[in-house]
Amino acid sequence: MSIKNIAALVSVGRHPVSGEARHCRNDSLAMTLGLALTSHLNATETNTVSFKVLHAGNANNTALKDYLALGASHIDMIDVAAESLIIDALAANLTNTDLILTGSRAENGLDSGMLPYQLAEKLGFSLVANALAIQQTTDGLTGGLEVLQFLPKGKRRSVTVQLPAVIVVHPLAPVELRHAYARQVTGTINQQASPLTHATPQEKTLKWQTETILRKPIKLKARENKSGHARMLSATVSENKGGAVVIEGNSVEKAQVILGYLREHRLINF
Amino acid sequence: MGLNYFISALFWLATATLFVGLYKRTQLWRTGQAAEFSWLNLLAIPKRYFVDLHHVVAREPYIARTHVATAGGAVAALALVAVNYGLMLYSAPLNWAILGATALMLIGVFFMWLRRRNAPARLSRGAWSRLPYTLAAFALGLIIISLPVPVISGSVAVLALLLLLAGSAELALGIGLGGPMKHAIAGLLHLAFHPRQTRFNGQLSTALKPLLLDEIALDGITIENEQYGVNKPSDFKWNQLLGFDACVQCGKCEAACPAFAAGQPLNPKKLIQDLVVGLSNDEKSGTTDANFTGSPYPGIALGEHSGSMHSPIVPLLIPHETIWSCTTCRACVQECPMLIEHVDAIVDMRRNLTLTQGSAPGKAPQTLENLRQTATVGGYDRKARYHWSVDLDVKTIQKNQAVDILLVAGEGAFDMRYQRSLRALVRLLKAANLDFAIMGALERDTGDTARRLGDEATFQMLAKQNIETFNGLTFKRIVTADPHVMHSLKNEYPSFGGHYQVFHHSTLLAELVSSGQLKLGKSAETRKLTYHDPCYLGRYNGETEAPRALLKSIGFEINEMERSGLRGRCCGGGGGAPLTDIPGKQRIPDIRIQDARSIGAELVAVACPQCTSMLEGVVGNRPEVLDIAELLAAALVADLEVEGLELKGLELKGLEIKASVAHD
Repeated sequence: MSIKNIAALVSVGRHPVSGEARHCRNDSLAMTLGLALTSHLNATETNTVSFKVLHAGNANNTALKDYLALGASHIDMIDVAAESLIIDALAANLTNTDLILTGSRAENGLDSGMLPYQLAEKLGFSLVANALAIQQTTDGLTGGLEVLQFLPKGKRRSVTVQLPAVIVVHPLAPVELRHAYARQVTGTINQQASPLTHATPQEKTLKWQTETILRKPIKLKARENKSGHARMLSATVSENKGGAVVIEGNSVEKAQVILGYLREHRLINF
Repeated sequence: MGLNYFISALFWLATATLFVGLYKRTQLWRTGQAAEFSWLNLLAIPKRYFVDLHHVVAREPYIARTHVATAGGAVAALALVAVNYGLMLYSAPLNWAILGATALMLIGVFFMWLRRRNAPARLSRGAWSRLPYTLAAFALGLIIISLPVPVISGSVAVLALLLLLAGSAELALGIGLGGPMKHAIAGLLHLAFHPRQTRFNGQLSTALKPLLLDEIALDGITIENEQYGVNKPSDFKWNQLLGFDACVQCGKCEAACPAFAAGQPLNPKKLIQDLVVGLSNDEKSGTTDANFTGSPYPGIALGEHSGSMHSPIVPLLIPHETIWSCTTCRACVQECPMLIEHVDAIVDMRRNLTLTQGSAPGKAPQTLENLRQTATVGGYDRKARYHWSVDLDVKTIQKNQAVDILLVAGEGAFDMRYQRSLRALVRLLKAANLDFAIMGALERDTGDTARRLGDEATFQMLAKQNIETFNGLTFKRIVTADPHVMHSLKNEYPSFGGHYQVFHHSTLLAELVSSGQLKLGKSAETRKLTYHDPCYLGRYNGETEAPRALLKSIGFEINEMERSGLRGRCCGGGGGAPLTDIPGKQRIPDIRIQDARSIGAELVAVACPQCTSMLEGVVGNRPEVLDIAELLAAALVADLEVEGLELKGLELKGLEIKASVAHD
């Protein structure tokens, strides 16, 4: 079986500092890998391979245009009423697809990273996680894909997967993203209503509670200005940690000692 | 007399050839895009030539005099020939005049030839080395025929005609075949139809022209985005193409270019000549750059690049790295005697690369993404921009609160080094009792870096957001310590409807010092000082005096480096060059610090966060780099009590705290 239809799933991300809605970087990597694979196959194969970019979620999100700028000429947008319907909506849209590419996890929302697994289970597809690179298997007969997988500590593993499959791209995939404004202008987003908006038999409404994270106090630590030899000694030989206990004198003198210490370690600069 | 008729025939033949050539060249220029222009500007050519252009040429008096003699003599001789031989008067007194003018020309040509014998490396050779000989041939021919001798022997007459023929060919064929004399006609027309007309009104014209993104979006949906900046030579405005043809290959831009000096693959002269190579309709073979006779782009061989009017410039004609090496310091524009706008051409090409391919190299894409998503260059939290001022008791501007001065810190505010300069500035403003406020979390980046990197879309987005913010605030003036912020706000925002009074801190402080509102003592500093002019303050905004006046007012003697003032050497920090980071043989700031070292300076005064970080990034033994604000703050008179540090809650009464001004 040869590849005919490839799809990349994209979500709306969130900048970790500013909180602005944006493309999800990991999904963009998956999409760019898919674009490269499609153009490679179209250049070498006889049959044409189609590539679509799919998003299920809130139709009003302007961050989707980032994916147009990053290379998608067209995005199919499924308007989904509730987050729990996303899997069903996607599955209904992806039954004829041979290869589905996704990022590892979204940047906001429920952010569980479970979507590719639930989707693969629902569609009965194989799944490869932590993909760094994808290429066609060298013997064209088997019709599978060779995936380079990320393993910790710089290790890599090459696995072969039979289609249809879901491939989950690792955030460290070596892909260069190119944002071009002109593509954002020329690209289109096609919105389609989900067939499942009212049929919700198995909807599980999850009760999530959001609260702001409490920043833990950080202990100020004086930087050690010791030589490498001294640090080696202090690691190997147990020694007095330094410091002094000031009991003598009035409060001003004691404060002077503290100020002196803080100045010495450059924790204050006056 | 037979010889006279020959000369008349030759004159009209040459004139006809010139006009045919000019017509051919005009057709090439007309391939470019439409630009606003007025035919009336042709009348302005003499003033622009004798004032604006000569002002630049006169920086090198030897060549200025040589050119006056050569070109002046030639133009006078040609005009007289047109009258005497063109109109077939053949009058003896006119012949005497021709003789005089030609003799002047010959003297000029002699000195031109003399210099060519020891030509500096920046000059092109090839056809340009031929020029003294052909011009001398022309002058000698004219001298022979205008000699007051009743009869010339046949062989001398033939010799004179041959000499004249050779010289006339150079003059008449230049414009059509792209020879050196092309510069005379293209140069004069360029003066009339220059893309920056305000340059000739005694104003600085340094703002980039906005790209009309909304209009492109309307017409450009189906076309392959060709109107986003410049992709092919034919995407330039016709008057830009004309400007490229004006180049005399004198290489003054090359000598001034910091990227070229650092061995990065950019040479402004070669860039303009490459674009001239692109002025060709020869689609199939294309024209290569093999005939270029000047210094190539460092590290890139000649003959491997070719182009034509309708084929993409990058990377076929000009390598990718060349476009991204430019620091947009405008040193080339400052030096160009033909008033060519190199930086505009580079940004036009960058716009196309960034907007249609997103192919800016290095850290540039990350920076542009940061600007889009956080409105800061470094991807910082906007709310953290003014953390350095938390203990200085500074007002943050509020919606309904009028202030005199709005202090815009710029991206430098996130840099711990530059925060010291900003803190010094705040202390000075407070010492002068000014009513000022900082912008706080309302401040977004001005988009300067995005614009220089060609990302016009991001720049315009930020510009519009900033203008909206400014419109909601009440202030009289904007003061900033960052010349890049100043340039955007003052020169480029007016195109988008933002008109503000913007001052660099040095200008404001100089005013305060001269009016006596800010009282400064003498600096205790004894080290030898030099001042480094930021490009965006000097060349972009014409401010070179205020910083010097300030330094003098606190007792410094300023030792000027090799290049200073409007001709100052770049620190390497502008135009997104530190982000694209194109490798060269050495780093630009190293060259600048070497300038400071070679005059024995121990202190470099700066006035820009980019310059500060670039010059401080130089490793090894180097002069200390201090902002003008820091030097001034150290000389504040009423300042031995501790500023801004009231030690609330510490209850340290009676404790003597020695304020160290230098470390604040």
